[in-house]
Amino acid sequence: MNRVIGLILAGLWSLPGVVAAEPLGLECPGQIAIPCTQRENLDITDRPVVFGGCGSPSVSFRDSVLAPDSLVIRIWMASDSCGAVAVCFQALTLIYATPRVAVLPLENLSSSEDGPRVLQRLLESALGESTKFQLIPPARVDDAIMRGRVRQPVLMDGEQRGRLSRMVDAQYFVVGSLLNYEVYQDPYSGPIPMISCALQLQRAGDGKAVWSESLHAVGNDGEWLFALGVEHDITRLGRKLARKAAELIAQRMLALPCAGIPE
Amino acid sequence: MAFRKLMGLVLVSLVVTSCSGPRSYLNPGADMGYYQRVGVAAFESLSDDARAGLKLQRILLSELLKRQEFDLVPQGQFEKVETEVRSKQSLNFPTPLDSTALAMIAQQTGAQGIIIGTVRDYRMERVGQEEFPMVAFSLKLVDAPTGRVVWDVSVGERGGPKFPVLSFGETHTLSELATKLCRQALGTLR
Repeated sequence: MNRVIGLILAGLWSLPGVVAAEPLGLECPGQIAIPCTQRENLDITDRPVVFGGCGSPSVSFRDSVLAPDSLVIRIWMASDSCGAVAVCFQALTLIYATPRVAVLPLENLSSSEDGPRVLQRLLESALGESTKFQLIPPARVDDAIMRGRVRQPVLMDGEQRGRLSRMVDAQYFVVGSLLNYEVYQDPYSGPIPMISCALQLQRAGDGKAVWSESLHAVGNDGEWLFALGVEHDITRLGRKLARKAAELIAQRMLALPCAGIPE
Repeated sequence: MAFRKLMGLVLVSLVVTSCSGPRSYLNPGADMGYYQRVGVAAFESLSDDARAGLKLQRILLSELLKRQEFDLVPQGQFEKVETEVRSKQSLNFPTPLDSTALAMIAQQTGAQGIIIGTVRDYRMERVGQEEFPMVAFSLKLVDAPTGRVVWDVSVGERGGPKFPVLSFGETHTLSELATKLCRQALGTLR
């Protein structure tokens, strides 16, 4: 590792124009281990001390990512009005944490009264089974929703979202709408359940949707011949759909920066 | 029973004329690259299902988010502003937004374009012994400050088996068919 840092240092010093001129000086903060999501938070990572130089030297930094995604070398650079430049380096070790996810109540656009609640619980179970997430306990989410007076989580504004994320300490929210949750009578196969929903994984910090999908499941999806393989139970069908959603969310999570979770 | 089912499906395959591609218009004078921030307004529903507009709007939002072509105005923010503007302009919810209302929404949300939609059909249709979904709708992207139509598309389809006798490739639900049609419609956008 030291060798890699040394190579970067050597490369930078050899850049034309990047020469630390006296009396401008720059002293970097020490190496720090921080949660990956706090990498840009300078109040935690700290700033360098600038001394000397002409006027008020300007300070900037850029990051070089090493040792895939776990070590960052922050290159701090100060320059003054006399044209002097000073450089120093700070090593940041990134700590990855399992993302904390809360499943929020679904908007009900179906004709079923209890469908949204059932699917919400099934989604919580499916996400809870995964080692890729840390599921916020449903009771805590329910309590926060009630105390925060959030009527429609899928339509939360920034203020509501911020308040809710602080109350439940979540990094991501699963929100969505239940479009269909019903059973119809097929003349040949008997009762056939149908479920459709539109789901999103939203970043709790800014509400940006990082994943979105419309999911549909029908009891006779698995029918292969004359009603064989038909699922008649709507809850079992819901569990299947929830597992599919959890799988897709896990895949998406792994592709997000700071969300790959080597445990 | 199996024979009846077989005959029913053959009949469906003959009766159902389900494959018609989307009909779209793209304003030749419009610079599509300009429309980065876009909002989705409440859809008008002409079908029997009063919630059809809302369902289709949610599906379209999901598909738009997946495509990542636009910076979408968060739906909570958009609906709040739309409700306020409609109230000021005395426009009840099924009534389409006029150009003044569109400009006011754009000013408050920062949207350059607004997608408006009309659902014509959102119902299950009985064909022989079976029921199949029937969905038809049109979408418009309007230039928010002027109300000028930038893109217009109409889609409609009846679900049903792709192959007679076998039910492979069958679209069973309204939402599933609506999702498929949203993808088709958005495919004509760029």
